[in-house]
Order: sequence, then C-alpha cells, then structure tokens
Amino acid sequence: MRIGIPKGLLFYKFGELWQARLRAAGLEVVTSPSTNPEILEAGLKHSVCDLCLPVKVFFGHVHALKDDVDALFIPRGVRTEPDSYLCPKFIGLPDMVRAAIRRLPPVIDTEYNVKERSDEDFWKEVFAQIGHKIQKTEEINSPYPFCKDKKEDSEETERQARAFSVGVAGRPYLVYDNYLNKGIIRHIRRLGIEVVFQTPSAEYIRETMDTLPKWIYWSMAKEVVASVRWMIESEEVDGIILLVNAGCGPDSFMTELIERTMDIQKKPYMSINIDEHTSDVGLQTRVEAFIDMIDRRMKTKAL
Amino acid sequence: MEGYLGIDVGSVTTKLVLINREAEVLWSTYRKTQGQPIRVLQGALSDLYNDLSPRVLGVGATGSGRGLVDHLIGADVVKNEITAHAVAAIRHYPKVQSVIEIGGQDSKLIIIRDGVVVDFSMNTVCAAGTGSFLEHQALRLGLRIEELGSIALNANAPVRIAGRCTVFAESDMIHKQQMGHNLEDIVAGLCEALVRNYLSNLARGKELREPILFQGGVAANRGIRAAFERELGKEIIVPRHHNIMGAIGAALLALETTPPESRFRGFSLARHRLVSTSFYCDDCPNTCGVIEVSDGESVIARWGDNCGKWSSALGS
Repeated sequence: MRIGIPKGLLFYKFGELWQARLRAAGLEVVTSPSTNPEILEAGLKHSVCDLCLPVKVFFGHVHALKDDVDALFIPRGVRTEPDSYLCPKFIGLPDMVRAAIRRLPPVIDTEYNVKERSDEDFWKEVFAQIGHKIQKTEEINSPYPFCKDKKEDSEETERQARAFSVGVAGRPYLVYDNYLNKGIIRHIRRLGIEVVFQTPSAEYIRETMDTLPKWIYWSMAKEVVASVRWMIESEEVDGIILLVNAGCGPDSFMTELIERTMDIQKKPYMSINIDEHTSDVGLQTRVEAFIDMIDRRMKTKAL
Repeated sequence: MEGYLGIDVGSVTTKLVLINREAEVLWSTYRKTQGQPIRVLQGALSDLYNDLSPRVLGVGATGSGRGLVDHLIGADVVKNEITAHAVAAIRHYPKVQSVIEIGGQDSKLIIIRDGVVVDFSMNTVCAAGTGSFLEHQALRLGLRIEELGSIALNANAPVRIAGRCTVFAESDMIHKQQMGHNLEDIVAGLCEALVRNYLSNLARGKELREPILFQGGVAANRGIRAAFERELGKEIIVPRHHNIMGAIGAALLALETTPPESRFRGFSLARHRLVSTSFYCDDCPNTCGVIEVSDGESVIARWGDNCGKWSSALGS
C-alpha cells in the first residue's frame, strides 16, 4: 500500500511526524516534490474558486501525486490546540480537493481535532480508514521539523557575513516553501544576512494573547503574532520581515493587528504580501532596500 | 574629463548621468526605454561619448533593469531604486524627511530621519497609481502627458474619480465625460485620484514630515504636486533633477565606493550589434527563463538561471 502526502499546508507542521507514523505501520509513504512551476500551474488550473495561494498550490501537489499512489493522506485539520481553530479552508480541505480534482484515489480525511479526541484515537481512525491494524509505535514528536536550517542553504552565504540578522515570520507553509515564497529566504542569505525563524512555545503564545485587546481565534495566526512579538523583543534580531500570502483572510487581520498594536517602530519592519503574480525583481528590490536600510542605520549608530 | 556614471534603467524610461568627484551633474539624459533597454543604453552611451568622451571612474546601476546594465556594461555598484533615490535626496537636501517617488510602473515612499532611511513602502503588482496610468489616460483624452499638469491647474471643481484600479478609473472618467464635465475638472480629478491611491496604499500608518521631496518622472506634473499639497496640507519640493534622481543616486554610490579599477566595459560597446535571445531551460522543473546577449557570433552575457549553470558556463 502506497500512501501519498501532498507537500503543502499542514505538511509543513506535521509532515515528518505523519511520515514516520505511517511508515512505522509498515506502509510505503511518498510525498509530492517541493513546489515547482508545474505544481503551481496545475494548482491554479484545478483550484475551485478564489482561494488563497497555498491552498491553490496544495491542489497542484495533489495533482502531482494522485496517479502514483493507492491513497492520499489529507487529514481534516480542525483544531491543533483545544481552544482555537484552524482556518475553514483547512477544515474543508479534503472536500475541496475531492470536488476540484477528478479520478482521485481514496482520500484519508480523518478529522484532526485535539479537543474532541486523543492523538491515539486520531491514528486509530486513520488506520481504520486505511484498513490497517494499528501498531504501537514509540512517541514521535517533532513539531516544525522544517525550522532547522538546511545546510546546503546556509552554504550559499558566499559574500562576507554582515553583522546582523533578520527575523522572518509567517505561516510555516509559506516561510519554509522556497518556491512559494519566491526564494526570499535564499535571497536574504545571499546578501550575507542571517535568517532567524521562531516557533513560540504555547506559554509564550498565551502571554502574547494577553497583551492584545482580544485573543486571536485562529491557531496559526496566534503563532505568527507571537513570533513577531518575540522578534521585536529579541536581541538576536535586527529587523523583521512578515510574509503574508495574498488571499489569506486571517492574515489580512493579523497584519493590521501587528501594525496597530505592537511596538514595530522599535526595529526595521516590513510586511511582504506574496501572490502568484509577485515579480521576483520587485521582491528583490524590497528585500535589498530593507537590508540596506538596516545596514546604513547600524553604521550611523556605530559612528 | 572624468566622472562617475549612474545608470537607471526603469520600466518606462532610461536615465544616465555623469557626475564629477564633487557630485555635480556634468551630463545627463532621460529617454524612453521603449521596451528596448539594450538599444536605448547603447544610444545613450554613444551620445555621452560624442559629447564629452569622459574617462569613467566607476559605474552605479539601479532600476528594474539594473541587472541588465551590470551584465552588459559592467557596474561597480548594483543597488535597488529605494536606496539610490534616498542617497540622492539626502545628498541634495540633507534635511529631507520624506521622499515621494512616482515612476513609470511603480511608486515608493521613503521615510528618512537624521539622514538615514528608517522606513519605506513600495506599491506592489498594480500600476494604478503610476506614470503609465497617467500616460494611458492622457492618450485616451488625446493629450500629451506634458500637458496634463497645467490643464489640471485650471480646474474649478475636480470631479471625483475612482483611482484604485485603472479599469474602474477609465470607466469612471468616460462616465464623467459623458455627463458633461469639462476636461480640466476631469484631469484634475484624475490627479487627485492618483494621489489618494498613493496615500492610502503607501503612506498608511506612516508620518510624512517636511521637508517632503517629490521625485520621479511624474513629479513634472504640476497637477499631481498641487493635489499632494492640498491633500497633505504641506509643501512639496520638486528637485531640479527630479526625473534623474535615481541615476544620480547610483552615481553617488559608485563615487562612495571609489573602485580602484572600474568594471566598466568601455564605450565601444555602443557600436556593437547586440542581439538578445531567451530560452527556457528544461533540465529541471524550475524551467528558468535564460536570457542571452550575443555580439555577432559570441555570447557576451547570460543570466536568469537559478542554478548558475548557464551563466557560469560563459567563463569570462
């Protein structure tokens, strides 16, 4: 039995865990390739209506896998923590995929809802859907496996290292997908700048929520806002870039919330909105100007 | 004669300046790119050579075509337009605190405090608030772009036009024309729409303190300047070299670095027959578009590939 996992959205949070768990049960697991122009193109062609870019791209990943696997693993992401929800597009993802793409293999669409059921029950149902007996596996827990800097990436830092670092905040499926984010991370590193990511702890997120006029409703947005707060306060970060993808409902609120209620004046800050039309040149111009700004600012301070 | 060359290849216009060590402008040109940046660059270089035959001490490139300049002519500094515009503004007006720049396809707002850029914003994909939009509307009204500003100044009651999107703006303008509004009021309304669009997109949450400079090709339009002044209630300064400030900034950056030996390939390049072609590399799913410039039989520059396979195959 060959199970395919599309490399998008929640994959960037749970992908490593999912693969390990399914493999431990004796299943063959494959993922789609990293996002590339073909996948983007297929995604745009198959998406049902005006969705956000990462969801469109997810359809492209499904398309790249569907003829090659016996089943697709697309859990219905409802809650990743007890007191808030994921965006409705995650909740409806398996249905949208089924509606949009024809001739699909069976879709394993088990609901992931930590309030309603335990992790164990989730996997029980997954394997029930697959038709496999559950096999006890040791606890595999590695949230955000993609935060780790990849070696080959950092080796691209050829030019002399400048003495500062930039924090990049945003949803994991945008920040860690190097094609979807137009290679912005690679571009910053090429300029000799260190890139800092941050995944805040549950406690830090709660603390951050208490500083806001009101708790945020969506789990991923909470993480983004908390990571921006950490970057504002951290000594390790000299400037902050917030990545937002066009068509993201929650983030259109988050960007406003961050800019209005948080102390972004404290450090150079820039938000970049990415969609499929974003030109590389325009993006590079802004990134370079941002880095120049920090550089010149620091030089004047040093004088 | 010797100096530093600043080249700004924008989407709509190409600007070249030569400055001396004291940062004075010795020579400058401002011409349409007309979709043929290579030919326009060659023409400008050849004119500079015929006028002054200067010794070039350094080259700075900026604008969306800065990579092209670097590959073709050889640049010592390749910088984004925001830094270039800010550098030129600060040099000419050390006290400047805000720079409004509106070019052919993009617009920028740069916030400066104590001679250092502290914040900026740039319009994204849409060209609704830029020079191309104005030019298109001028053409549709049968006017020259240069006339728009003075016509706008003669308006009594500017009409309200939706400036958020060129498509809506155009239908709105046609509608107002058919209702019988006069040309002056419509043109003034257009200027106001552009300014409103600029301020709501770029200036949101930013404080525009004086002195405020207005740079870029659109700064020549007195109607837009007046609309900015009305909307902000502040004085807007249009520098003498407003339309070549980016190129001046690039030249200043070259002067700042004072390369021991410039990478400038020489004026002879202007006489060569350069042909550019492009292809998509199919070796991996990235399908990079590779651009190749050849001089007769030999390929002199190649770029656009992510992995560097094609550009590095060229050698020196």
